[in-house]
Amino acid sequence: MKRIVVTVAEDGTVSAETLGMSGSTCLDYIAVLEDLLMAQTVHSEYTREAAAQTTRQEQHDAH
Amino acid sequence: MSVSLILLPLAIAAAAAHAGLTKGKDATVCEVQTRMRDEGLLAAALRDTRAAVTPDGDALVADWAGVRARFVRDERQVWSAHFTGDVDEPRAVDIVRAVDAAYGRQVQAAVLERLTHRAPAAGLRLESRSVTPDRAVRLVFAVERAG
Repeated sequence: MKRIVVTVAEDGTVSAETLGMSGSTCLDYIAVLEDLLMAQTVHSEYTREAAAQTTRQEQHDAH
Repeated sequence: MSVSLILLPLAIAAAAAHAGLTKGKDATVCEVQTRMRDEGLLAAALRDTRAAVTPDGDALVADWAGVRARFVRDERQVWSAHFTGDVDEPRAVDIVRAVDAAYGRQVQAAVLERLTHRAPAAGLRLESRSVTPDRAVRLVFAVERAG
């Protein structure tokens, strides 16, 4: 199941994490979140889960 | 694959607050720049700090006991405060910090309201809502369809 976890801090800043999505879908949801939140992304990074998946995919591709 | 984001609501400016003090003949004037942008949320935040708030053209005037602050917007739409009355720079900065904290809570409430109201139209179903020990609100949405 694809999920988005949004945390709204007491100072009004927002952090969000997408779970279980492919890379291109992740990027699509950045725009969705910016629109929903009337916000601008100031930082983004792939998570360890994403890095692990990418590494697994690279290892798979090498074989 | 997953990605984590930090988003800054448009009601918050990226600039950090800072203060400068000048002493006039009749009053101490302290200019304090803020990260605040939204007029309605600023007025609500000022009321949260027990200020009497009066619109004055494009400015907002806030009165506490013995202290008046006139909030005006710069070209980036960020508010700065001009303090007069029984106030020095540390007190002005303390007041702005209190207003800033109240403003943050107003932004938090506005973001949560907007998010929970508009998420279903974007194909997001709210699965859970919880409050963390630092008073952040954590929402978990299931993605039901492309937005």
